Amino acid sequence: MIKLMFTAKTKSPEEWKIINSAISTLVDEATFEATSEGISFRGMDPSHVALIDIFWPNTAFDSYQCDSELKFGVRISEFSKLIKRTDKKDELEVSITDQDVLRIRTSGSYKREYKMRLIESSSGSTPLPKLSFNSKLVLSLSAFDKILSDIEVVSEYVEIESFPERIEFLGKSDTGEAMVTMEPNSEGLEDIEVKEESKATYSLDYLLKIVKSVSSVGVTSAIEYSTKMPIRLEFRIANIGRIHFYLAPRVQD
Amino acid sequence: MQSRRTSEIKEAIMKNWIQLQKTMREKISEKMIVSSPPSIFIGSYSYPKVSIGPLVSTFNEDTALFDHPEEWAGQSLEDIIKYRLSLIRGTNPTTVNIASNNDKLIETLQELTMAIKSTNIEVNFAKEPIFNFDEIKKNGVTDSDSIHYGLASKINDLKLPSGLIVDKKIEKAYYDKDLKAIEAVTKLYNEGIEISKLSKALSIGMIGIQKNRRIVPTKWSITAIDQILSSELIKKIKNFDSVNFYQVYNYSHLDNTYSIILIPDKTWCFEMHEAWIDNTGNVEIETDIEVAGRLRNYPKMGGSFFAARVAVSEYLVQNRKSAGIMVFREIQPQYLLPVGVWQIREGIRKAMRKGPRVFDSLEKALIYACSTMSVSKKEWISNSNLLRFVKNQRRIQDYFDKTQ
Repeated sequence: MIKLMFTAKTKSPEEWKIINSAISTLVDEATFEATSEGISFRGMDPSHVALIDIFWPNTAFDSYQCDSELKFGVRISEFSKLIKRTDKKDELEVSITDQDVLRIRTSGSYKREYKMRLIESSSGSTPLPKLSFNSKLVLSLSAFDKILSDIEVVSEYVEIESFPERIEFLGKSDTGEAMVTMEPNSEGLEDIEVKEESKATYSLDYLLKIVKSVSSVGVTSAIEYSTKMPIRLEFRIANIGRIHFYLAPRVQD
Repeated sequence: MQSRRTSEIKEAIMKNWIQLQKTMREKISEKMIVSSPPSIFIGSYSYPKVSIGPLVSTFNEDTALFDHPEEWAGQSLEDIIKYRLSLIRGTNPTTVNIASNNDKLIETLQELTMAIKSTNIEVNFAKEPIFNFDEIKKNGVTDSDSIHYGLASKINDLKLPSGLIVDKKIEKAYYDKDLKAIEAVTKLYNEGIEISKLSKALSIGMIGIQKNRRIVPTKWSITAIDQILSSELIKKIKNFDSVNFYQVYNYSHLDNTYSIILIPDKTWCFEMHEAWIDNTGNVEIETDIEVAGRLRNYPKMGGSFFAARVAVSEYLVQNRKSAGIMVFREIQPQYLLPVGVWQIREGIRKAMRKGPRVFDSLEKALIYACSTMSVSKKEWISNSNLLRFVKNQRRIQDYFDKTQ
């Protein structure tokens, strides 16, 4: 009998799609870690500007089994290709039965099975940045996407400035300026908490890529930052525990 | 390569020229059988009126090398100039609009351009070709201009041999009158057609949707191809993973020294610096930058920028990597006569092919990159927006909890 080292079942393939798509904004190859508590991923992009921290708890799965801790490395584009073949309503089982192979089984309209060769997993673990946040806002993902896209028309980066009752998004370039103001009654703004007025600048390229990668299923995003410090985005997505995205600021000397 | 004095190079060029004139004068006449590499030249002197014609040689040997920039990297300035001077230019005034021309000469030049090897052709000049100084005298010349300096004369008639062997890929694109120019250029490039060939095909109106086909002056067609191809390559690069370390590539030819620095980055940033050094040691640096894939203005240095961009982006696509890029080009006064942007493209291609020196910090990479040049690191980077961009961007590991 084949001993299953790790099996995780979900009611649909959507969660894996989102996770792959979020990770693919930063890296091509990813090492997941599975424990009895769930699956996690943590990694930075090659220029070490951004970091993704994902924790997907066992309770979020239809069924989950992992007897001992294990790491598995995948090429995200390969993994995505296979997952994309599945239908929305397919139940999905991802398992590892031997060291080198990830098995993906679907049941729905018919039974499908893929085996994907794993790649060497990275050793060592990425720590998390130690941060305290002075400003927090909760935005619907669609509003966030729109604001960033508004700014992107004129600039490659966005300056976010918070006031007790207002958040401003600002973009500047040689050709002109763009500004979006969010106030408590603005559509899409769900919460705003400003302990201390904060101002920091971030690369739009990174922000837009990650926001777009999760916007198909994500609902809201909690945005936290402090003056000249990294920003943290928390995406709230059904059936996935935590997707945190950290991005280091741009600082003018 | 050991540095030579300007006077030595001048002497070598003159010696070649006198020698050439002697051999050519023996054969030259109004009506001749000549060899074409194959090559054509479109002058832009009063656009949209242009002058078109073949470039031909009185040498009966294989003349392919006389117009084959892909083979020229590393050769001496006098050799390159000798190739140029060996070619006689036929000229014929026409307008850029092909449809209104229906010109037999255009068709013949198109067929000639498709030839896969140097070809003997019969030319009939209005009068014996003479030395044409005009284009050199009229303009200050930079590398962005492709000029012809050599003998020229109005051409009355041009006959190709029957059974000319043409390149099937270019021929196919030529007959595909619905294939957009950008798609055709990309397709042919991916099929292995050389960049110098592509620009000729574009210049004589052989590619693109039928109604958009035009005659394009040679110097514009060269930069158009570099620009189109690199834009398409950059689109691919956006999907690739960043290089993992700082890498420096270098190469030197024709008294031009190149250093290319690749910086780990997922976003396409490309900055090029050109330092022109004159006889008295004065340095003038020009810089153009494209940040996050956006070129806001047409580069001040013109076609040099795109020639460099195509060489670097081609390398990154071959290696499936992305990076931020800085290119330093230093031009010594011994570079007496600009020979064309091909020398930038091919010089950088050589540098990339040689492979990198790898560094774990930008500072070390910069020190090494500048060590092969006479302009100091401080001078180079004082103009760099890319560096400011890279330096202003904090890294997430700067905020890791060190006590963990």
